[in-house]
Amino acid sequence: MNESLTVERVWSVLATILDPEFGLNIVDLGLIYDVTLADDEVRVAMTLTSPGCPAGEMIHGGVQRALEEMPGVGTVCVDLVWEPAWTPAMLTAAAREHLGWTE
Amino acid sequence: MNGNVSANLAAVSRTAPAAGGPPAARAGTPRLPVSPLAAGATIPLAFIATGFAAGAIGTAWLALAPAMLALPHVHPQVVALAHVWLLGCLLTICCGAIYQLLPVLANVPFAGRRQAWTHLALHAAGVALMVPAFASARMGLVAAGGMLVAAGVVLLSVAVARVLRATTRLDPILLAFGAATAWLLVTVAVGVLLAANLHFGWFGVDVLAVLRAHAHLGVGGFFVTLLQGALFRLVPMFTLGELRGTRRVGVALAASQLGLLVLVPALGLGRTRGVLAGAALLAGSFVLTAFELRRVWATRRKRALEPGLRGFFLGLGALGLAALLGTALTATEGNVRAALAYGVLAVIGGVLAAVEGMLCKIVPFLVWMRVYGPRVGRQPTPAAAALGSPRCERAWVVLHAAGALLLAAGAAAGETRLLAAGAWALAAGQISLGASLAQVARHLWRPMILTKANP
Repeated sequence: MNESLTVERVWSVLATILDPEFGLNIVDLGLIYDVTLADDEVRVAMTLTSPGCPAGEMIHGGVQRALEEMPGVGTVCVDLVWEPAWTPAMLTAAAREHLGWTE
Repeated sequence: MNGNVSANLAAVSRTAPAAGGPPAARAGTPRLPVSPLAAGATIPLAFIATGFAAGAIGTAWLALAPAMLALPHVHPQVVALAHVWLLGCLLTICCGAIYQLLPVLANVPFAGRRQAWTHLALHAAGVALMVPAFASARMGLVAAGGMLVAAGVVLLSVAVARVLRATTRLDPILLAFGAATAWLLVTVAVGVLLAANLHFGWFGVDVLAVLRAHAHLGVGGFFVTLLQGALFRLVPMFTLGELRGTRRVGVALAASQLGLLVLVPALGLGRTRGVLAGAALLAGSFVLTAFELRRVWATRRKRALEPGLRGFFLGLGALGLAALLGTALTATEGNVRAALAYGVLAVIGGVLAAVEGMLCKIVPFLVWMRVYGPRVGRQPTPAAAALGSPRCERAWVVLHAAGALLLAAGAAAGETRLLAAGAWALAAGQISLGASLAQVARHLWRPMILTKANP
């Protein structure tokens, strides 16, 4: 296994991908549910804000591409899951602040 | 990286879900939404560009001859101008939006690329034939142009019917698209028949009454039904708000459809009680829609009110005012100036503001998906909102509101100075909006290159 390939690095790469509508990265938006590493295989469980999200295909493909370009990565598996369904409660504090949602 | 992301990292590295962190994912069907772009966004963008060009022609025509709106509303030039706005601009844009939005909302793959392009060609040719024919009162040519437009609408109807038949998510919002398309079919059929009858003199009809019915079929049946349905998907999508169930939306839509079914025949037959009953049902449906929209708005997480949404809500407000004015008009039969002010308020203040407000959101999104979507994950990409000019869009909202108010007041008073001021304010607003949309479109040819340091 490549020593530089860590779960933290995968999260950092995922945090560079922006949702086009809200200008927030997909980690702060709460779309990434899980990241696991096994040797050079990266597995990500992610969702979308809704099953009809128009940018869904682009974001899902972008996650796949971003991870494939990481040094030391062999196999990438991006699972799109709908359970649990995304809710605004999954927004991070930074995302809430960006949106002006102070509740 | 912020603290919350770090908390997420910690949660994952412990491989156990922490409170407030990412939840544990359960096995789900790894199925993506359908491809989001209708023919790579070229179809909706082509419809929108054609519609915006027609709107620019209408705006320029009105700015050069604002006194036109002091003429009776059945004057050939006024009818020609109305068709530039309604058929040339608004209907073209809305057809593009339907081709794009409906398959996405229904999660059905877009099909019928060739039919959509044929529709655009038929529609553009039909409108180009109809408008000069209206202005010179050559009703045979109007009917011929109308048949081209109608053929295009048939193609659209087939596309809509296919999507609705294929979807597994049929709800009142999707049904609103179907209902709006059905009203559109009836509107163009009535329009073509009326023009042909005026040309050939087949049978005697009250032309004014049928014209009123035709206008309400188009504006109320197509545009208002479409807006009433689509807003409950678009507003939550753009504000991160929540629509909790579609039952109340369904009730509001049912009321508007029933109101139209009562109103339109009553207008055509000149039955005042029927007109009042239909108007009351429509007004009730507007109140229900406003109530439900307020609930969605209260749940929004994106707090800032962007210019596009401001324009959209301005349009909805103007449609509400127009509904009140229209109801009052039934008591002032024959007041042609008030009728024209009503039309200006509904079409320019209402439908145009609402549709163009949504353009401020939809066009950047389409361009983003076409240009930047394939680059996600390879390079930093901008937010869709960064493609246009919020300053120009804010100016558009103010100028459009001022223009619509001045035009409506000028039409009501028959005052040409007010009309001129309104026409120029409207033109300035359209130039502002056009500047922002042009800035967005420029990304199609000159994409923004962002480095990893400034995403």
